[in-house]
Amino acid sequence: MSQTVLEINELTKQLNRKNIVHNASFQMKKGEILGLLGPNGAGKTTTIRMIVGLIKKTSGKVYINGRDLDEEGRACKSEIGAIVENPAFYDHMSGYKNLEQYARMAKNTISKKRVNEVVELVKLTGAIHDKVKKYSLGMKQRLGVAQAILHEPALLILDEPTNGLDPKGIRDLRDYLRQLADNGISTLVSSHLLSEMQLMCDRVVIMEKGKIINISNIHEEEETESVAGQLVALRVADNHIGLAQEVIAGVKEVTLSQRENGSVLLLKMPYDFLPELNRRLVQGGVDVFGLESRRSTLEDKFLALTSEKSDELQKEAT
Amino acid sequence: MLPLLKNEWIKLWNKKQTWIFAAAIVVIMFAITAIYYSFIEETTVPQGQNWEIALETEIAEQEEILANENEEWVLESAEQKIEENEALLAAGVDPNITNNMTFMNETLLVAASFITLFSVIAASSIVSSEIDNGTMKHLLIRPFERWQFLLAKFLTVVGFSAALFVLLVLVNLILGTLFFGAGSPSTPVMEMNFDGNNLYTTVDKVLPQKSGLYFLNLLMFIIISFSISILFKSQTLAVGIGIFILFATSISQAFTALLGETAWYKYVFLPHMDLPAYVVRDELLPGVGLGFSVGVLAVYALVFIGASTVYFQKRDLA
Ligand SMILES: Nc1ncnc2c1ncn2[C@@H]1O[C@H](COP(=O)(O)OP(=O)(O)OP(=O)(O)O)[C@@H](O)[C@H]1O
Ligand SMILES: [Mg+2]
Repeated sequence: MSQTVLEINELTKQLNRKNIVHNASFQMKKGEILGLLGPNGAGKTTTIRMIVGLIKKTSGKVYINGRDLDEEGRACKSEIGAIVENPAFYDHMSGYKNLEQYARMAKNTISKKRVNEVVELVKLTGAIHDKVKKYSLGMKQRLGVAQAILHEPALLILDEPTNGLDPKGIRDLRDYLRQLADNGISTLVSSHLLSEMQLMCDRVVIMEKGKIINISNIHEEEETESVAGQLVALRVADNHIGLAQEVIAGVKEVTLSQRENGSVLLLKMPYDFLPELNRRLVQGGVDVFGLESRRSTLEDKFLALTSEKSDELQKEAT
Repeated sequence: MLPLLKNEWIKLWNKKQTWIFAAAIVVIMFAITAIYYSFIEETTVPQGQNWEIALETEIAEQEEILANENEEWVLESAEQKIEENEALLAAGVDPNITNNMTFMNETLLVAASFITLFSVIAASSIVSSEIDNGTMKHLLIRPFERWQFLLAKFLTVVGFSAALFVLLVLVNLILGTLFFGAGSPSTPVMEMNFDGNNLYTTVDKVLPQKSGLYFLNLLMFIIISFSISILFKSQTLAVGIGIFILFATSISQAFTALLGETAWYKYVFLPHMDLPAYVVRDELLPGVGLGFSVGVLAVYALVFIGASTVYFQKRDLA
């Protein structure tokens, strides 16, 4: 049986008689990367703030490694490393001096070697002795990650850590979180970068309007999909749409799911039937421009689940 | 607790403002020396051996006025002058002697009011600036109680004020010695009392008393600005109120004359913010002595500290 690192139980935050977070419950296992997903204002940051003790809970419980946050706050906090919203630093001090500040506050002594190790890891070695006010947004975010992992916490909580990171930085972070997970460190990461979460997380918790509306396991879903039939996009010459539909109608393994903008057809079929379908189409005289499997993305699921589909979210997800 | 203190101290001295304040103390002390020096130059009364003769000559002159004039205010001032000179002669106090000790006795607290001002600014900003720029959340998620951060910050401000005071004494001593020569710490001096008998004493007796009482008031200024910045979440308001109190105390004698009769006035903290006045007088108002003043201030201090700590322990940190 795997150990539970974080458990939140019916967590509620009420402000001005409004439930900003309402009865949120979930658990995190050791070595798990859990995504916290939700549209703007869903209550992700509020949930995280309650877990790290920045704001008081209206009701509910938080347990970290089985300890009650209310009763053993300091013991709990010493096992957490966190970024809450935008990391802020002492701008007039160097990145290194900032890290030294956090190193001193850790429960265990943190060696210079460890500090340098972390600096190297977040790839700030060249700039670490510059003042933080000279840092770019992404560099600050990296320094934020550095201060969160410095004391080797059992639970990492990262609120939108990819904010401002370049693609390489995001990839590095993802690889690093995976590496940490392999060493038994759990990460709770919030974001609305859906494609990112799909690559990064083991499970996602989807929040909307303060409530948890879905918890799902990303990898499991991929497996069930490939058995039940996969979504495939077929692109043909404009004037061959009708012809293609005729061919498809004659193949019992394939069902037409929907016609997408112009000359693309979305089909549902077993994955290994792809080559055969292609052959039939060519034999039927259809000019095929593309035939590719399309996983139903987290985005599809997210948008289906959350009623608010702001333009912004969709843009960010692509 | 020690790491928090160390962190605060480092952060403080990494601020430009701190160094500017220290430099300002030096500059101000130079200015005061220059003004004092030119003032001393102007007085042409013979010094040294002749001072007793000079005082006696003056007494003789005033007695002549007494004999010849009959306007009341002239007589009064002449009588006062005679009385003063006789007291000076009796106490062996040369009113025109100037050395580094008398210089320090007369200028130290004048310059120290700038330390009060700088301490008010430092105390007002040490908590609120970290909340404003977002670094406070990185502190509160560490394994410490919130009040420990407050205590560390408070002690840091007190330490800063003490450091400025030490700096002031050193600069004062150096400048005093350079311009007015070294004198004995037990040089006799007179302390003016506007509504009572003047005090005839020596520098080494009176200056430590004045400084100690000054420091109690300084502590009070720090407590008030520190607490207000926490309670009202506003650095500006805290600085404003601090400076207002600073000005109000400098005219508190006027308030005392106006409101001294009322029953509640002695429970207001304002008249007790000029403790060094107790060096020359036993009572501020009938029945209000040093013990009473310190007691009133202590009650205010406890209320301010209690309220701000309780509030800070409970507040939500966005
Ligand atoms: N101090 C506050 N007072 C009143 N309402 C607040 C306060 N803080 C947050 N809220 C409200 O709580 C809701 C949840 O905010 P929260 O910051 O947790 O959302 P989020 O999921 O992190 O959103 P985002 O994706 O934009 O970061 C929002 O509707 C917000 O308006
Ligand atoms: Mg947020």
